[in-house]
Amino acid sequence: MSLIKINETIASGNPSTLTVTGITSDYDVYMVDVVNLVPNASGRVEWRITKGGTIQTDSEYDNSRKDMPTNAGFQDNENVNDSKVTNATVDENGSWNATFYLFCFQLSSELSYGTFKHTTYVDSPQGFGGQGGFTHTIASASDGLSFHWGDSRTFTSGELHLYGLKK
Amino acid sequence: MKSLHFINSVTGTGVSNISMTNCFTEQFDSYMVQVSKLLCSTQANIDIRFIDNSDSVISDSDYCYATHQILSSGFSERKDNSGTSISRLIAFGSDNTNEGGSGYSYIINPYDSSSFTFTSGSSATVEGGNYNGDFQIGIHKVKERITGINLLTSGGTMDITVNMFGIKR
Repeated sequence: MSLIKINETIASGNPSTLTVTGITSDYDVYMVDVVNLVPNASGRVEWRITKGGTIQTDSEYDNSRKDMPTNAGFQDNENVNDSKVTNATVDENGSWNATFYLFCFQLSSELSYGTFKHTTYVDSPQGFGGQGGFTHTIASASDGLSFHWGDSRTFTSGELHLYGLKK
Repeated sequence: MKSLHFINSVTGTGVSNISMTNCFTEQFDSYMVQVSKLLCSTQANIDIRFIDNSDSVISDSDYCYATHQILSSGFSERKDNSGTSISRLIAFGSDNTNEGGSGYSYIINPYDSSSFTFTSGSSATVEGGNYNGDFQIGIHKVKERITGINLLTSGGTMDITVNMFGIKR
């Protein structure tokens, strides 16, 4: 088994979104390494999927997650029929780092599923990590993952690396 | 292709802590540390400290961590926002030679002096017939260059092998 590099996107010029595409029927499972997402000011990291390269902003995102603050009780969080998946409010001196596995994205007859594990530093201020899963509840093919900040922030830095899982 | 590049391995016998120096360089921005062949003199956790650019182990209260422990007897959470280490790279290391445990953690941005250093990992152990797993995250919340790692027990001594890999993207 090996991870074949498909595509990468590296933030340049303080973009408001950071998107990586390239998911096709070549592989059954894909992985995205998310490295060093830093907002220009404290901002809540959010993500969506893409279909045909277009970011999907419909209210079709469900997610649940175990969030682990370092200075408060752990949290069981969930959202249903949201227009994005939300996570931590990242401190501008911290960064958000995560690993995603994406399932059934390439299938036109299936919903799009993903799992994620993340570690970051939030503006509370405290460390913050966790893991969870999300679903985009439309049965059609998806081809990528797109990140933005929920507070109209821009990316000071950030990298997305897309891999296909070769058996 | 994403791949792991072996950097170094160190082994200790009957030690309370073990260091690997100069394993973080500008060649990689992320790493994986993996522990194998662990045997503790008493049931103990294995914790992480980092080594700075002067080869000194950082023992200030500059670490925070959160660990979700999945025990055969139930779940528990451990956390600290100003600890002197990132606790529980491995939770409940065993003192029984027939048992043991292993674990790994990804280490992100250690060599970047403009960034905090982040960790994220998991471990699995069995101690006295009780099975334990965990998922942990940690942060060294100071922007400084980290060049090495120090693993220490929460009690007693340990026999341990530590392997370090660089992650090529």
